[in-house]
Amino acid sequence: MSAITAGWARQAASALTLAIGLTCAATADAQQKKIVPFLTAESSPESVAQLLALIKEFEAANPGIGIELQLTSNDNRASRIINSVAVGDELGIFEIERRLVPDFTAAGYLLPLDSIVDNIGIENFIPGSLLYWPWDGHLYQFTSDLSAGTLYWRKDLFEAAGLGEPDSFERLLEASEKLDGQNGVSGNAFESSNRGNVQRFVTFLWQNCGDFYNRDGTLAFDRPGARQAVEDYAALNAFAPSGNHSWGSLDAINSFVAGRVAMALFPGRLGFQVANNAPEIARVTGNREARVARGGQGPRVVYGAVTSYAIGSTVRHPEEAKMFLEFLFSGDRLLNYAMAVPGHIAPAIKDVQARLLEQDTPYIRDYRAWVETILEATTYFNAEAQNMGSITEDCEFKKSLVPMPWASRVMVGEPVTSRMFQEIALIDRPVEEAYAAAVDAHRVAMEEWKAENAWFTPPDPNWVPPGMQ
Amino acid sequence: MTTTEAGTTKAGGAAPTRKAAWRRSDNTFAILMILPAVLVLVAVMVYPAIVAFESSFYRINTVTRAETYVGLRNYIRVLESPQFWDAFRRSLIWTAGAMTTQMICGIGLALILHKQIRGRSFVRGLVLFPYLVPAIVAVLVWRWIFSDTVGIANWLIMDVLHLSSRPIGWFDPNWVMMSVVIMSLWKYLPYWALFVLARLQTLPTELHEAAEIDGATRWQKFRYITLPWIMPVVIVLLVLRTIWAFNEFDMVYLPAGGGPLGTTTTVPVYIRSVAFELGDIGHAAAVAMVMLVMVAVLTNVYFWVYRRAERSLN
Repeated sequence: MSAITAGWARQAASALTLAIGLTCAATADAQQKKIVPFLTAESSPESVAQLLALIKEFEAANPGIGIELQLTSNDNRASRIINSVAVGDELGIFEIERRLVPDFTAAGYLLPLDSIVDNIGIENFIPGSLLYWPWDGHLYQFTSDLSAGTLYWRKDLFEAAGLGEPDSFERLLEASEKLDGQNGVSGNAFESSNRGNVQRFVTFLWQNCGDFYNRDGTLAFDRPGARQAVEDYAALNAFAPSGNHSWGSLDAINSFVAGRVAMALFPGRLGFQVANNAPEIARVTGNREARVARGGQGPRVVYGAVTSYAIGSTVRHPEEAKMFLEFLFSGDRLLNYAMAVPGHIAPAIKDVQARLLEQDTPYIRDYRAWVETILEATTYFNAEAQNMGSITEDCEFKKSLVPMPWASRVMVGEPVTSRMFQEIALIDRPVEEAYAAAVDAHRVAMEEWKAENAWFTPPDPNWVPPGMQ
Repeated sequence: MTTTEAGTTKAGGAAPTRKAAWRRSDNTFAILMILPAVLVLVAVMVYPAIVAFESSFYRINTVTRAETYVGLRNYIRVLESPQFWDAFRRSLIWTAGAMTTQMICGIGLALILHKQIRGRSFVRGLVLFPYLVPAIVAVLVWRWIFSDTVGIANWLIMDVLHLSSRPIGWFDPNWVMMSVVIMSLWKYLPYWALFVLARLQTLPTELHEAAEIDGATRWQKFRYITLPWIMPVVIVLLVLRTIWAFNEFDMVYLPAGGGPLGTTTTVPVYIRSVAFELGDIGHAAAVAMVMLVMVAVLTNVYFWVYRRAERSLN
């Protein structure tokens, strides 16, 4: 062996030894620590930095536990989770999409999380924010925060046109008609896009005494109230910007910020963005509870959403995973998280909500009333896929915790109602005809899903979820 | 190698055995050298293709992976589905639109960049920029440009040029495919331009000089000298880009999510919808298999055209 070759061999051997040593050290460290994977779609540098700081704080307080932060995108999250369960990979803590909950829970992919709520105290949560599984009474998704839609409107434009506060369908329509086309402004931002239509339309549906399905899994979209809601929403949609059928999640906000729409029904992010990016528009903007049925009648209910986290049943360290989840979404940590977009992220814990209003930040100082309105709305919010059949046939809002198991068939991709409103707006399909087709589509999707999923039986109608007695 | 080996065999009586041994050794060596590549190909291409083919005979729940053997039923569903044929028709329109615009503009841009213009190196570098931009970023920028409320395109048309009093619905059913083709043109134009430019730079200047002496016009020089010269590259680009465009997902799906009213649902977008919205991997695999056959047919047609064009050029 030549000197050069021998030297090279020695260097290679040293490098190999070092690599093996480092690997062994890392493995030993990992073996000593109980590692919990945490998959999140939070991708902004501020959010990631905040999460890393919280992980550091948790690990310092619990030296035997390590949290492995795994980042993904919103678009990839569902497929990544689905693929993990398909190949039996360890699934730690992850934000779970509404549409996945029924299949995942029924298949036993999720760990019960009742003990986290027991530790915090169920009485501390906003009623209806915890989504107990009605078939066995356990909790498989832990709620971190809520959001609820409120109505934003341009007070300056309304006053100039002699219009009153938009507190009923009639006033919404009158304002939309009068303001549409004035100085490049559209009447409203009630969209028909695949991404945003359902969230805007459901408030009309519920306040008109309609619903998609009853809590026993039978069709409700054929009720007269649903028909009325479709007619009213279509009438308003005619005064929305012409491209609203293809809007993404930020287009309504951008349009309001740019002063191009007179009204928008949106969660708290809109107010926060307007205040930050267009303070001159924020100063002339009003915010109120959405009342969208005729005469302002109908049950007190608005669209809202629950952000919740689950732990996979394949997780290697279940108790440690629960500890971290509880740590992350309670107390000061939850408050700091909610302060990232105050009002849009409404904490699910009552005292954290109260503390949020006491924070001394410019937004809370100047727009406290907006945030209060939104936080109050989290006490009467409803979510279409999570709360199936909350509107009774007697037109009462009795929050159901039955998830809509076939939500992915009627709400995802091109939701049935989005298609209906797009057909009305884009190809002039008569409302009656489009509505009848939508009723059929809802019925067929439900029947097909039931035929493929024999496990589904309506949950006990007398079951009252914990925290809602 | 063969010549050397043949020369060596004349040297001694045990040569045939040694030669066979060498040949075996060479073969073994060659096999060992290509084995890693073959293994990678099998792992990332052949195996998934076999799994997809096998999956197409089952109904498979996307979430639970529960399987039921259904035989050819998935294929029958695909071929009887009006949604599939609508998606296929849209795929053809999208591919034809994207290829035509990219080819014409790509050749045009390459001809401009071939000229002795000031700052040519800088412009050539700049031209590559759109190709380097990730699809999602490109789409977000173009969505903003085409926005009906805050977009610069409508601002130009309405407020600057006064061509219309109402915003153009770039994402309306009648316009959306054209908008997607424009986005794709912006992104892939550099790809075309650079390949054609590389070929143009090998064009002997004497040909144009001789043509000029003979009194050829600019058009005649392009038609009878430049175009035949770049044609082999253009045909190869057409073959490759057509296959890619037919399979394109992100640049078609991201701008409008397959809508409105399904007007941008091409076959790949349809496959995604079947797999992740209808929740049936088996059905989606059957659509993918049908698409594979169609792309294979298309590719063969192209290669037939390519061979004919090559023969005629020779």
